[in-house]
Amino acid sequence: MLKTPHGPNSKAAKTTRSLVMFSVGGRRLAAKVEEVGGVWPWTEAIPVPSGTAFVSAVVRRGEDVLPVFDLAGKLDLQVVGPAPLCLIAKRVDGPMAVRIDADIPTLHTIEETAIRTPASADPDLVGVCVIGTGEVPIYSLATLGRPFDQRGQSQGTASGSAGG
Amino acid sequence: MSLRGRAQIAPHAVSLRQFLVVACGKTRFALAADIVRGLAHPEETVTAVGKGPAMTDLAARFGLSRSPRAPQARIVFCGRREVHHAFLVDEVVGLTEVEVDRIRPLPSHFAGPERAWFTGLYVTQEAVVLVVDPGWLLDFYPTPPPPAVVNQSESGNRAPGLPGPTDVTAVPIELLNVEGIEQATDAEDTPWAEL
Repeated sequence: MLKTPHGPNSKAAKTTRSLVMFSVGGRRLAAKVEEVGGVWPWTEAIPVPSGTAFVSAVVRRGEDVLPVFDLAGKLDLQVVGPAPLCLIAKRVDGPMAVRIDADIPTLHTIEETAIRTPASADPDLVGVCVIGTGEVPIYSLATLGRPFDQRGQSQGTASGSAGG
Repeated sequence: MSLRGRAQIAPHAVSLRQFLVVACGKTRFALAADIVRGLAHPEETVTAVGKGPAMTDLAARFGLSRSPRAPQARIVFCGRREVHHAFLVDEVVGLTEVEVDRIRPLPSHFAGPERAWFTGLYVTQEAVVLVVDPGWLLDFYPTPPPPAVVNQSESGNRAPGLPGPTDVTAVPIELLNVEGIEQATDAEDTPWAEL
């Protein structure tokens, strides 16, 4: 009987993950492609009085009203570019709008083994990888900004689950 | 041509709520019409007998930054039972009726105290309107501030600007010198009373 060192389901091919890379305030960031709901031109946000950290506005798209997560504010950055974009984050409790730089996001496929656990204690940061010439932090859009006790099973490193 | 083929339009009960829609900066708020007691220009001298409500910038009530006095600024007097307040707003958009079904909850992403501030929101053709919880709005002070009456001469000497916290006196809406209210007749999103 032949033995396989890693069980019957192991594959010789390396597992890869698709990431969307975008920028906020000139800083490159990435997110799992399955957590990105789309990219639109940014439309004017309507301030909403709020005590929730980094959620204090909504944007409207037709009849839909999406809360805005101020990722730039969280990172202490300013969105740059004359025509910022709106990245839709597919958070577990509903989509959110995130204002990002005018640079068009790009799709990248990387090996999961290339994703490192981040050193930062930021609970939204789930991994770090190298894309091009530099390191890019990977953010969890599924749990972005959620209180730690509400993160549930969605929390984990970017390389923690397959199927990206 | 016969009308026989026309379907009978059965009247269906539509639950409506009436709001006074006001603006603070880019944000619009819907105040339950049944708590609105009157409107006034900020510079207007108001003299009447009654409880003296505290004057609050509505934006500041929600913790928003205060902007310079808008040209369309108004004071909205709100009250229920013994509690009365006066709120400074940038603009009174108008009175409107909204179908209850159109009011949706605040997105769950808003997880802080704002969930007590707003009972929901609705959208119109041009805006997103936050429905203010009247109970929260009027529970600003644990106990109503002492009444204060401002007479003409005191007010006339006051420099333009925000009145003090007990600078105005609430009066019924019918006693106020409110600009004409005009009834609109068309679309649901059009406030039926423009101020």
